[in-house]
Amino acid sequence: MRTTSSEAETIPIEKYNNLETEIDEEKVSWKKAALLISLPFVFFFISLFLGRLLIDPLTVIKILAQNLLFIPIEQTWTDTAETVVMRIRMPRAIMAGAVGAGLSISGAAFQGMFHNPLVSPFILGVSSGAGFGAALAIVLDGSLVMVQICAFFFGIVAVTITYFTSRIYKTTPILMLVLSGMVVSALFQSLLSLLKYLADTEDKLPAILFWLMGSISNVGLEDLPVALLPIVAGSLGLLLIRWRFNILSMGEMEARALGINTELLKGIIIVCTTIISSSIVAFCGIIGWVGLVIPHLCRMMVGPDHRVLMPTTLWVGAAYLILIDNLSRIISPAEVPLGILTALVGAPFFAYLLRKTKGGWG
Amino acid sequence: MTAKVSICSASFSYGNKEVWRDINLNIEKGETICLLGPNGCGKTTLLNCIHGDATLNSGKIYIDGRDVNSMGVTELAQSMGYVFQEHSAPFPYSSLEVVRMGRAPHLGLFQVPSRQDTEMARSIMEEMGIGHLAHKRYTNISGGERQLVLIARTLCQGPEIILFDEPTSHLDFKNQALVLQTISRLSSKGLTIIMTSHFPNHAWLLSSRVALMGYNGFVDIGPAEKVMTEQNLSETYGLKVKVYQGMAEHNNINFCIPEFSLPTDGSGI
Repeated sequence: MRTTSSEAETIPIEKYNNLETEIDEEKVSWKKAALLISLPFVFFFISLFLGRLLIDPLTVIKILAQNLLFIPIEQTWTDTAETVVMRIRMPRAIMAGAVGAGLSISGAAFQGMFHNPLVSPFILGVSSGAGFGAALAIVLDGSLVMVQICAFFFGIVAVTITYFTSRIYKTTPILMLVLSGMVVSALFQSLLSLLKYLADTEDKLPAILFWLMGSISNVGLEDLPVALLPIVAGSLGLLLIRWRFNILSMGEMEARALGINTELLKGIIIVCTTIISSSIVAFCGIIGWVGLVIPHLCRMMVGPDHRVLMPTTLWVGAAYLILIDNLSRIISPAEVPLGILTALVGAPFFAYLLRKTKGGWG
Repeated sequence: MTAKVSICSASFSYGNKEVWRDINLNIEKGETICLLGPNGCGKTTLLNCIHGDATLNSGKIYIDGRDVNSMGVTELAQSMGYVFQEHSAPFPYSSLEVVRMGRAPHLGLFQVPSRQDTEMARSIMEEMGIGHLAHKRYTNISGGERQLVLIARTLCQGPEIILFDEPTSHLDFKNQALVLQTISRLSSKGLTIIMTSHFPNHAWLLSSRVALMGYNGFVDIGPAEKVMTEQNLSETYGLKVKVYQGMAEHNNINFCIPEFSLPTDGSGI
């Protein structure tokens, strides 16, 4: 609302109160909250009976009851169905939720820290670094575990280089971080291209390309604890400092004037987001757009206050990626890589959100 | 008794360019001091040094007898607030949330503001007469209102000193008066106030002490009546300034205005 003072005087007070400038932060409606909270559970449950082997919802409930709650129920299903639900679909849905949550909360964290709506969790070069690491392991005939370790390691290496490149005068100005991130991304991108060029076109190159597209189909029950630990730890860290994002988003100088040790805070944020995103990239490849779109969507729903925004992004992100993963399994017999689908859905959706928020912050 | 803020033979330069050299100033508790001077003379730099954001080349600045550079950010924020001039507001927070941010120096890293903190923010806003702004988006209120919200946020820090960097810039006539009035009220409550200004008349309105700055340090320091003479102002700003005195109902009012004249060397229009 931009009115000149003369215009403002002609608007009566009652009318003023009705303008959309009023926000009442204490009230988030019950219905909205209940819907939001139940969403990931609904999609999670749906994902358990969807797929090539259709298992009816009731059987799924029975399988879950027997395996998770240890309620003795007479087995009316095949062992295959049980294996599919408990060892394939459930870990996969859990991982999808964790990946969505992790990417979204990292995205929200970076958008708050850089106060820029176009920032994704990969801004500091984590995906380029991890991509290079994975390609290196593939070219060198590494096992799947080796690929994951390499991707995780180089993701962290890339961010570390970015961080120390941006340090001038013992501080890391926000703009320098963004620029260093670009430099480091470009560097690792070119190294990745070099590896692609050198890779054997019969089996290595397709493997690299497929890995870069991003997919969570590789994640099994055994991988879950290792994959989840960094995501959960990082997200918890970001949730704990959620209010400080409000202050940091006002600018570094103001944050310091409000008694915030900005270097320490930025350090914590970078460490948390980096362990989240490099772990995600290591297990699932590069899944774009989630960390960009979900924070915007949530800001539109619950407003910009990070105290509410951070937990909401986490939850909605989880629901969103479980949903997308369900789609990736059903829209074609050959599974569509998740990274392609998130971009295919995310990009137009982002355009819609930008239009709706008029390029602003929701 | 030590001064609230004391600047001792301080010098500052950006690279090779010296901004000011060997300046001294003591500011007592409860005093309002107005830093006046032309663009680029280093007023804001001095505020930044007092706030510990910029580091002196030589000399020291003491707050309550303690070296500013030895104090941590949190400690500084508890004793000193800073209302900045340039300010970008990226997210449409509610004004109440912006004011509440002032509680940050009193909360731990993992803490979020409690109900008491919110109540405190709200009552400060009420007291300043901006309670009605609490639930308005900070990005949608006027420049003057925003300035008042920022002052409220600074008060929320519970400081004893407040630094203002050109608190009235970009504001219309009424809002300038509103902000000055607020500053004057804070001063009467015993807060120590250091502000920069581009409007010499504001120093009279606040009946403050004035530190007039030239291009290498202070020209003169003292009460407005003593420092703001036609000669001092004319020399500092490099143009002819006339000081007038008017009679209001109970007291004298001073004001100054520049005298227009075409440049005598013929380089003008």
